[in-house]
Amino acid sequence: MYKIYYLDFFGRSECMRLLFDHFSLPYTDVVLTQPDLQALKLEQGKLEFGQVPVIETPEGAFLCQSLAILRYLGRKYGAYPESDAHTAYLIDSTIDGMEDYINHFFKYHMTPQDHPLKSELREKWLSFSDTLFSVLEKRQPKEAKYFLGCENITIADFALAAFIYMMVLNEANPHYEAIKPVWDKHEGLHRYAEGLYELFKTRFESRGKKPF
Amino acid sequence: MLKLHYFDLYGRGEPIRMLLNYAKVDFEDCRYKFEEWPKLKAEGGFEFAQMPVLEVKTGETTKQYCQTLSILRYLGRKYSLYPADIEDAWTVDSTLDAIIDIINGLAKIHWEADEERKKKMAGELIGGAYPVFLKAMAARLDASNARGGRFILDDKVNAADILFACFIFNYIYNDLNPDSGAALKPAFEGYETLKKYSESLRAELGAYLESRPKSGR
Repeated sequence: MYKIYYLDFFGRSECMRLLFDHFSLPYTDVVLTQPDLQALKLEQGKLEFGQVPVIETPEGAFLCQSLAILRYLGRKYGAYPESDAHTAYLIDSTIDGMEDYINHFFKYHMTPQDHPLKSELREKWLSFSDTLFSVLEKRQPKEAKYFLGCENITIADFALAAFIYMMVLNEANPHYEAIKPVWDKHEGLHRYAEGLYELFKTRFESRGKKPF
Repeated sequence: MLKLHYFDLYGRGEPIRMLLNYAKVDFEDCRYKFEEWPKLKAEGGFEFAQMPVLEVKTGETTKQYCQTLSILRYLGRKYSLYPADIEDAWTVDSTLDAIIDIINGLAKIHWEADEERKKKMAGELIGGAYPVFLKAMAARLDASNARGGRFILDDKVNAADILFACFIFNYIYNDLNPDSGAALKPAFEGYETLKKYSESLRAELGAYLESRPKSGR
């Protein structure tokens, strides 16, 4: 059984849960408080870079770095088509694009309200969001079930589903009101996103509400 | 035919330059000044409105590749600098991600205008994430050394070694950035393993480190 060690967020661990659910792989969540995390950092061999998420594999190995874990699981369960280098690139850069979004979002979110750069950071985040959604729209064939029109599900689908339903279409997200209008403009993505919701409905409807 | 677009500094373009050079692949190295960027960005030619961008022309088709790590993975796959075994690939992937975390941390500090926040962020990185990173990397190298390898995985340079080389020779051993070196070198040189690794990289990269256009970061 896989074990996910993480804080009480969807955050960087949600894409793995969606993958585990999709492939019917049993897993448990070890939800850490900040004191738990500090204690775990001191234990040998568990948090290689002092960060979570880490997963413990059924074989007892500890793997860190959320995206490296996602790629590992993707390769293991046939959800990361690398035989076509260009497709692999499109998957990789989509994931990197979401990382950039997250960086812009948290830079804005963590800056105090009275900081002189607060509104500039908001603009940068929203502007990048528009760019990212445009890229995704261009890459996603209108009628396709999976991202890029791939024949089977890939790590891009897990990452996008986790991302969309935690950072964009999540009313509990602190900046939902700002991002929703940007998302609404990109109609080419709506059908795909709805399909993702259906795919992961069980998880999305049982996990409760969190800001991200 | 390859064309790389980036600013006229190391930054996020240098790992790609270094990889292409190491793989002995010719490319056009387009370097831009910061002042040129607003106009370039507005022209809308770059998919994510960011650089680096690698253009690959095959016959009549030109494909655009964006996002530093994605470009490194693409080229790594193409030029045998990225392993096929899934455990090895995890080692390379997590190394790439861990190094980028530190580089991103340094970039955030560099661009922070507020002196108080800047000092606080630097303290947190140099006192927190950076020593943990070095310890983890030294342990990985020890494991590789025990298997007879000089580099992260084994005795062959891969894409993660290229990125690590950029970290070492752009941020630590860079005469044009003594402040960065002063902050990062002591902890780095605390590990014999890491010192030996940087010497192996220097030998492997050879003339490139001398002949490449220099910049402070």
